[in-house]
Amino acid sequence: MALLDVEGLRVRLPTRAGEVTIVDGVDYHVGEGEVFGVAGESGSGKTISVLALMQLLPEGARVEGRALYAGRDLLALRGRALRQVRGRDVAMVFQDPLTSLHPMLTIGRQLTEHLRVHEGVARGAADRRAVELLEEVRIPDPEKALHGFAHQFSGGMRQRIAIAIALACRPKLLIADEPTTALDVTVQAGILRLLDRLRRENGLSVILITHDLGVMSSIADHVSVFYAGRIVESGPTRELLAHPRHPYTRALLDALPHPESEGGAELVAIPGAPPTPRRRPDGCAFHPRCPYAREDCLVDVPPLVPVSDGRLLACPPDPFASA
Amino acid sequence: MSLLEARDVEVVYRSRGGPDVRAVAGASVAVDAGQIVGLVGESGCGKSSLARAVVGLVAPIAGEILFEGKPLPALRRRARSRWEARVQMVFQNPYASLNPRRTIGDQLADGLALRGVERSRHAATIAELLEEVGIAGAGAGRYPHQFSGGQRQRIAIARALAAEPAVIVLDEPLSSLDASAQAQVANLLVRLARERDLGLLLISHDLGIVHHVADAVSVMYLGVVVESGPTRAVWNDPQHPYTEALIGAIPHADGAGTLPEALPGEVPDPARPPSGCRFHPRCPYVFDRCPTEVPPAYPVGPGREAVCFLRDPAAVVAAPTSGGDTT
Repeated sequence: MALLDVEGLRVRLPTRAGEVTIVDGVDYHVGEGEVFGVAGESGSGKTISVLALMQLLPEGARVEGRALYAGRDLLALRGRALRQVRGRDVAMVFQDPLTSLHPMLTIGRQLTEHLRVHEGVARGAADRRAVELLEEVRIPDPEKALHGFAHQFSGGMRQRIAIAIALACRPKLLIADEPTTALDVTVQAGILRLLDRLRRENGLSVILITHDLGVMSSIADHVSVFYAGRIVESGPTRELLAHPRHPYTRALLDALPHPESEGGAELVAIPGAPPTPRRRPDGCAFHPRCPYAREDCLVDVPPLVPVSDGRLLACPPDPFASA
Repeated sequence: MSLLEARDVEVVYRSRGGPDVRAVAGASVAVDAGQIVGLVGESGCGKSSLARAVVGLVAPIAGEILFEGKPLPALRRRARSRWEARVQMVFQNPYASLNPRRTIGDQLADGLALRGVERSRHAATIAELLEEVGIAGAGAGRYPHQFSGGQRQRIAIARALAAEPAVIVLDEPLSSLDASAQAQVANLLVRLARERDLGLLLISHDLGIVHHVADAVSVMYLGVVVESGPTRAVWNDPQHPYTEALIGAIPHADGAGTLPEALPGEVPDPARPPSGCRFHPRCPYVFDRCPTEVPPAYPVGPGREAVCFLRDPAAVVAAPTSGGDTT
């Protein structure tokens, strides 16, 4: 059963030049214990689409659609009900732990705040739980770490502390926005292994936003590829990455250096640049960069339709159908 | 003689009240004309400090920087000579390195003026340089914010080219870019090295992309180069345990669902480096010599060196081989 069902999510943000549609009708669901991957380049609407779930959008944002979490619409929650879900049932980890951690509060204070606010846990018990959490994310000498400040830890440790804080109230859903992008690969590997363990041992569901298809490949069960505010392709990670059907997914993969290549071969860049939200092309937003575009692609927005077991595709020409 | 060479360079940062940080603790790297050399390592390994020392942005306390065989002095108050300006640098973040208030044409013109190109020829030369990096020449009158991140990085490269360099040192030129823009810049670098016979020193934390574009690679860990050699050989058969760990940690977008290998422990504080081999507290193959002796660079193949006792030909211990399988 799905833990989260997002239907028809549409986000418009106000700008000086009027309203701009950032997320343009997105549907997906996240199962229990599932790592759901959201892939795409900068500006594709990945981050805004999850900030909308947490109601963390800037003032004046207009959100349409539904996000059913355990029978309740996250987008309709207000006040107390919202605070109860946000931070307890659904927690979030951001790209840069140096900005998401408070620089002047001890790690212990930040770890126990959630517990004391959401669950009314007494100080002593909260501290013990904080130590457990730091042990869980493998911070050496957790008792000492409680009294430390963010700047005293390395980038990888900070991100693990941010994850520990997010896990404090045992959320069912963790939203992780580029959690390893700022980290070195050896440290990234540790974070990915941690998320994988939490999913397996605690049944944690994760929405993982990343532009790195390598990261996606190693941990996500299911991937949705975003382009210009819409999902263009989605499916189980293994099939989607091994046999991409959308020309954009294929182009993203072709742009990566291949580990078994002998080097020196040209990487295949996608011609042009992703459209800005203000100037999204009509029809399929990818058509100006697509070698397979037909006349109808310039006019009609392609619907995201099932093409095979668990796979959805928004590309009527479907040039890689047999691949 | 290499075109640009750093020999046994040491860079030390003094900090008030704390111990001095030896960010580069005796590292050497060399670049030939037409060659792309990758300098790879993780945060805090000293690769950017070494790059800055190479172009003279920081003065090393020991070692020397040689350009065309002659010492390249560190930056002083007066302008660099035309000879010195033939070593150029491109920075990680083109949003910060380009001046937001000047047109890109004006910024490229600085390099032309430096090498005495007549004003009447500026416009044509600027257009050529922009075309060379894949930007329409008509864009010269526009400002940096009117371009995407990938375009800006290519403009930053064009600005370096305006000075007609022999060598460009690029500090993480790809890491702020999306995959497609990264591919464009990577292809551009290869083309520049081949067509202009430029030497490129490419600093990167991303061994995957370096493997793709660099002819040779040096791997740094905590201020020292632990392995160097032709890229393909190093990638296929790493001889230092750290290189092996770095390659094993790269996730591959093959859909196989394999978790990358994590390296235990943390990068130590460069102000208090471990004794002996600096990698020994995290090394899966550590043995009794490692914490006590500092390993020298052992030759491990044509043009290859590894700073690891496992590669000591005189050692009697049965050394585990690191094999070429990295998947």
